[in-house]
Amino acid sequence: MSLQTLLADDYKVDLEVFEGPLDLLLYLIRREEVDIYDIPIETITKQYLAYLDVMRMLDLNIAGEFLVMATTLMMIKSRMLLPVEVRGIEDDTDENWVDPRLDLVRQLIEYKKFKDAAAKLLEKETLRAEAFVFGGEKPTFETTDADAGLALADIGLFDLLTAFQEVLDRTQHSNILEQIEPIRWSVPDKMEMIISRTKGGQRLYFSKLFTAESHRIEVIVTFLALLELLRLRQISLYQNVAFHDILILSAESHHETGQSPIIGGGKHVSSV
Amino acid sequence: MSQAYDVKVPLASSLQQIVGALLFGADRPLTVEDISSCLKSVADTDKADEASDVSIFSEASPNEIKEALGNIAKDLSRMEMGFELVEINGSFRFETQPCCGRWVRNLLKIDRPNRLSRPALETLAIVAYRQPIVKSEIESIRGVMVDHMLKALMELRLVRIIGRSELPGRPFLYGTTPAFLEHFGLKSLKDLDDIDPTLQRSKPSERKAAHKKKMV
Repeated sequence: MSLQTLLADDYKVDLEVFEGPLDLLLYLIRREEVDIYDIPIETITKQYLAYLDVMRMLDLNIAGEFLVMATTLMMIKSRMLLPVEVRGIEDDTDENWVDPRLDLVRQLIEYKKFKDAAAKLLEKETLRAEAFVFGGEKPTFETTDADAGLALADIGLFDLLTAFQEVLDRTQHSNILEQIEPIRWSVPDKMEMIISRTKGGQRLYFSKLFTAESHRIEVIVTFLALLELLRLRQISLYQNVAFHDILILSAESHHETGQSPIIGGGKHVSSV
Repeated sequence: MSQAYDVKVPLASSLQQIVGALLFGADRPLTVEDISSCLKSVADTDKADEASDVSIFSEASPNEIKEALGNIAKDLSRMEMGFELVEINGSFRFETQPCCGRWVRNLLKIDRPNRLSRPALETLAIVAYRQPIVKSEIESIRGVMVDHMLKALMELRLVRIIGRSELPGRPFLYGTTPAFLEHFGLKSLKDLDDIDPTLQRSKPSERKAAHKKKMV
């Protein structure tokens, strides 16, 4: 697909996010290296809400479940603040005090188990794809081009949002009363920039896309361009170490890296 | 018919040979029953000639056939032939070994197949372990709506509707398909327990009881 045809489209990044609030919580727990059985609810709630802000800023379609979880977290937080009635005897019955986090922790742990099982299934699927019967026949999935785009829903969306948030924190905070700026950046322009900077297998790091002087709007527009290119499978993203800088490569050159992309990359059964 | 044309073909001397030949020659995966009924059918139709020779094999028990299959699998892996005997969903067939995949792929000009995305795999895992399961249960585990995902998984024929629940509104119950076992190379749903026994599927009746408790 040439850039020209891409540009013909009307730009609105509309990513359906299939990762849910539980994914985000598990992500935060992993990143903060906290004990899942003893979640520091205050910290996690704060970070969770910060992510919602980022997603809102990017105009990602925030599913209602994210908001429900936000209220759940705040409810747990407030219940944690309530004084615990201490009875005379060390009577550890459930009726006296139930950790308000208990339900959530149970849900997270069960979900995590399924996530792990899914990872094992992925292993099996990958091995399976390498075996052939006589004549090479193989039952394969059919995909239509129409839904060939949503690989972003695969993994790593939160990694990307983290990176975005970090960049945003580094840029000057625009004053609300500041005069209205003319629109100087567009998603198509930024897409073109990213494509040209990754052409011919050039390595482009996410952090290098922006400078400390980058305007907030520019950062947001660039990020949207990145998402759009991912959706169109023009680029793949890699991350060597979890929570580190993200490498952007054009989609054609990803085979040579020998790494598997965190997002994009190999064909996925898109919307699934 | 003249005597001169009556050439005798030597007969197989072991069950393993016959089983191997059937697997190699078949255009589809074979079950133990397929093999067993073939052995019997040959003994019946060829009764007239060499009856004594072919009838020995017709009495092979399922266990003997399984043993022959096991020996073929062992011999193949010992000889490093690049292909192996694979059991999927109760059927057996020869397949090239995954470690040789890239060469086979190149020779036959086969693209890497599409993979499922992580959210799809998660939804599938939940359906697989907890089937029969209603949509709302999947959603409460994943914490997101799964309408779209379920629809897509059904289009890929990995998930299907396997009944209606007794719950109010009689929602559909979902389960996995044979294509699911095929896609992941599983012998049967029991293989899932090797992955994580704690996610084990419990009996539907037990699960229903658990549900009621939760609702009270």
